[in-house]
Amino acid sequence: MDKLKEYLLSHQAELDVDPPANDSWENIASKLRPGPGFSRRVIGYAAAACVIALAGAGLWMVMQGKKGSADIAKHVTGEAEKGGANGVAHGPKAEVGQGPAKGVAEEAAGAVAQGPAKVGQGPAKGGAEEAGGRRHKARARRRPAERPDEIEAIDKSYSSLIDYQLKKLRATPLYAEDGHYFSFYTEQFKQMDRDEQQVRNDIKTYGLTGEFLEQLINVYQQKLNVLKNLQTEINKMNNKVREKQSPSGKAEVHYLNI
Amino acid sequence: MYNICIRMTGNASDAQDMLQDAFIDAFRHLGQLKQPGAFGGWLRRITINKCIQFSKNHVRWSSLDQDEETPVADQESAWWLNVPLALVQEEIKNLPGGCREVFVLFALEDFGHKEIARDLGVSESTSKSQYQRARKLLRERITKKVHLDG
Repeated sequence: MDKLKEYLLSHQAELDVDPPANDSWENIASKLRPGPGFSRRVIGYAAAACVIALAGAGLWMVMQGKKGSADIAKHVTGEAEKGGANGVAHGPKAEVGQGPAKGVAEEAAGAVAQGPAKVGQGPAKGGAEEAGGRRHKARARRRPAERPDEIEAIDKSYSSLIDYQLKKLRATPLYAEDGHYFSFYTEQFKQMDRDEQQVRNDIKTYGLTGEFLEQLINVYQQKLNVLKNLQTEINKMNNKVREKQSPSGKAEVHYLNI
Repeated sequence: MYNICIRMTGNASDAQDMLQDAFIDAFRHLGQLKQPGAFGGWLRRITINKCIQFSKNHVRWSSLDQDEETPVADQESAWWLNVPLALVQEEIKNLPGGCREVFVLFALEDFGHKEIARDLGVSESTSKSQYQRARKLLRERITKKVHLDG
């Protein structure tokens, strides 16, 4: 090795004779301390991030809404056509002129007008597919249940409403048709029961997440809508029969088994 | 650390800046230090890198420098043995930019010429010639001072 290098390396500590300035530490400390500019900058970035996130969420909701409306319109139109065919096939007492075909068409129009908030309100098969898709997404984000009593509270309030509506329907006499005539509605209701059971199973397995809760509420709302539509349809038909019937004539009475 | 900076930059003001930058960098990236015991060496390396960066931006390397490679190391006597080290430090600081950085990195930080050439962005022969130049200047200047002071 170079002898000068060797000498200097071995006496390096003795070479260090220059002291740093007295305020060196102070300067370093002041530069390391986050000043007001820093917090202002952080707040600015946070605000910008919030605005971007909100704009993104809004855009996403708008896009989802458009997609949902289009799907419902497409789906409901198909079902209305199917319902029309059923109406003709079941038509021995079609002189009443208010068969399920019209009822489904009305429902379809209503569902489309009500927009994306009632996604899955349409026929049973579509609802099941959508619910299935949502369940897959929910499974991907498994989270433990945070508020187990919450589901119970929602359950109680919706269940009592549905039970009330069901009792009312069961007690309503059917003058024009027997229960089979409304099988479209009853099948739809059964499918929703199955959907509800599936969501409940998911909740048991993965815990109650916001997504599952939303699915459950959707199913309940769909059930209530179906029952309400069924009640309206029965009332309409009964009224027509009453109008046409002579005061002395006795109509055959059926009750719905749902 | 400050002495490394002042030897590399040649003046107190730049050395102070380098020292501050090095400490700030070190504290901000403290999470990257895996062994706390190695803090000294880690900080030293950061300081040297800061100084190298500073030198790269401030030193102008002349093409003539590359021809000055004269192997004096083996020929000269050990003139430094009786020289006060404070004087050596002073004269290192007074060396011209270019040869000063090479001398400090090679003789005091134990870098090889290959490493110096890579870090400073010069050729290996430039590094060698700058080192010889620094040695020559140091000897001349220190000898002269020692003679003057008696």
